[in-house]
Amino acid sequence: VLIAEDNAALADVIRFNLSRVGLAVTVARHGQEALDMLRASRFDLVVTDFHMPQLSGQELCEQMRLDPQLELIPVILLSAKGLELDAERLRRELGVRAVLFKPFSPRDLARTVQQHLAAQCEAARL
Amino acid sequence: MSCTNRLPLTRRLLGQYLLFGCASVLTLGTLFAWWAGAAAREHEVTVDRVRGAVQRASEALASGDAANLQLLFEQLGREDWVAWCGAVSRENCYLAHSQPAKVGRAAEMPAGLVETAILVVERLPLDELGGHSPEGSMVAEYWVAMPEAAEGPAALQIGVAAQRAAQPIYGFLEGMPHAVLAPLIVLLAGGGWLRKTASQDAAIEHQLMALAEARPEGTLSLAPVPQTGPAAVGWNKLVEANGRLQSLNSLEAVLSRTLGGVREQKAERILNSLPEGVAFVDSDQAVSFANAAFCTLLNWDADQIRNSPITEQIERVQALSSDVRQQLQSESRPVVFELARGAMTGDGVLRVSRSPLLSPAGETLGQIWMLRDVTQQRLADEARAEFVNSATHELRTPLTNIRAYAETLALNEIADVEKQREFLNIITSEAERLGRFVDELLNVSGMESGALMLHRQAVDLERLFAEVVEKVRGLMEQKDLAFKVIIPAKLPGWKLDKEKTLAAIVNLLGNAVKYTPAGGGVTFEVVCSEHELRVSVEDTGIGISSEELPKIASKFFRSADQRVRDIPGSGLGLALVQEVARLQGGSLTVHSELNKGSKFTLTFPAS
Repeated sequence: VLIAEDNAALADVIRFNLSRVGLAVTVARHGQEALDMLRASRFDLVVTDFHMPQLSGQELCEQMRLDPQLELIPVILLSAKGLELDAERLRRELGVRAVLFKPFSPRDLARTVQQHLAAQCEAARL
Repeated sequence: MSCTNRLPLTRRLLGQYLLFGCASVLTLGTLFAWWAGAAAREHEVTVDRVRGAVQRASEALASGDAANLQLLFEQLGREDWVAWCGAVSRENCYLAHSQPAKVGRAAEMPAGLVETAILVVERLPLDELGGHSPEGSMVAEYWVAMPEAAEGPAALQIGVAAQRAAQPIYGFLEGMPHAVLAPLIVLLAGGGWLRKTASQDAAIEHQLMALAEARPEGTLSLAPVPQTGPAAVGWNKLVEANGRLQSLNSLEAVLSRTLGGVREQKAERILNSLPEGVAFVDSDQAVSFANAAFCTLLNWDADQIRNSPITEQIERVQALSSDVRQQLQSESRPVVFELARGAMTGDGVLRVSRSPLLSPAGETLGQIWMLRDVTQQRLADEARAEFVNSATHELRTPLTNIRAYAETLALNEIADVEKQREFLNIITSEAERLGRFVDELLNVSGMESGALMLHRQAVDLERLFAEVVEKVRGLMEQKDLAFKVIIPAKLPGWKLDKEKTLAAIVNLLGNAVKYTPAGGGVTFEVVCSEHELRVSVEDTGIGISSEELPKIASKFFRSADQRVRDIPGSGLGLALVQEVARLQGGSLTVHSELNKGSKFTLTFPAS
């Protein structure tokens, strides 16, 4: 699992929580770094912040959709914006699987990540 | 009622005058003719009677009796148609007379008496003594000559009582053409005079009739007439009075026009001094008036806009959307829309409102178009929205961390005490960050409402700046910035609000760190004179464009530069710094060049 998050403290706690449920976690400090990492090695899932320097979460998703290699990797978006962000539109236009609004529960995030990884495995088996 | 088909007064009067004149002449003629006829008939009767008397006298003479003759005449004199009668001898003496006293006296036989003819002579009546009396009506004396051969009187004389003077009537009848002609001439002369006098009245009447026909709101144009009588004099006075009234009226009209013009000019001046653009568009969509602000806002020349279609002029700023176009179609409906001068809000935004101008009767006379520059308002709105955006972000980011760490701590069995402490420290620092942000917000709202109070007291500047440097040194090192501090060795005490001033300087240095890429440099310099304390923060950072430079201290303002956007910020920091300087009588000045760096200088005067 790749985590793209500019807030180091938050990235750390996410990594901690996801590691606790047995996932291998890598952290990128901004969108561009995440995109480079995605291109360099294989990831099953991406958790990205919406608001990031250099390449925002939205731009990262757009870039991934343009890349056939990365197109199918599920993306979970973390957003500090509340109701003004249309989750439905993000799912539709950016192919985002889930949106979690800050402040979110790390347990919910871990659960969502696991759900989507399972679904991904299911899809891969079929 | 129309009076125009009537004849002019002169002709009418003349016609009436001649009609009555001719009628009276005719009546006179008729009466004369009747009277003359009656007199002629009476004369015939009298002549018959005279002949009868002559016959009787001849018979009496034939009997040769003179006494009989006297008796006959006395007898004849008593007949009621006879005034007197007598027989005159050839010697012109009365042989017999109805008044015996006359016998033997001389008679007045008229000359030219011819046999058998009757001559009538007018005589005065006789008195008691046989003399002619001047009183009483004239008596017609009939003279008849007797045959020459016969003995006796030469002529007989019979005065007829109550006999109408036949002879003058005959004369009059002969002069009848003259008698008719003379009054006719008099009548015509009268007519001429009448015409002359009536002509002035006719002129007056003509004008009065024209007046009766004229519309009530029209002006009275009366002409004077020749002064030939009191009516004309009166009329001329009336004309003169009317003329004075007219000139007063026209003076009043001129005055009201002038006053109206003055009022209009005043209204125009008022409109021209309005900051809002106001234009009046008449019903054919052409601009008939536009104030100075309207022209300026649309970059028009005043000449250019007159009579040109307004939408065409407005579309030179920005093409109208089909929705607005549709709304503008209905002329009586108020329409409000905005025009953008460019892609950016900062390029200018005009708010256009159009409302119909209605007459008191409710019909649309045209439209009032109003323009207002709402750029600042829009920028403030955007800044506010931006602030809300970044505020939410600023609030949620520490909150997210606090929740994430707290929950992680609570739900996971973490044996490692170091780890636990690390997590708790993070929670604490995030809570502090949250606290700082809330403080900043409160400060800004305090400044906004004027409730922010500064507590100025003598501050040890050396300690103050040492504290400042202490606070930011860590940040400088973190970002690998060359931090140069130039502070005089000896500094006097200065009256300042220590906490606020410290916060302001730290804020400036914090900004320098935030907006200077790693490896850059920051210089913190303090210069102190007797009158002024000058604190400057100079960096080699991203700088500020000249367009944005005037706005940077505005509340909520954040640069559109992506490099700034990528760094979280509330847009409140510089506003706070400026306010702190201002409240202490000082100022904040900024010099900056894009991509080169910025220099912020805080000045505090000695109190």
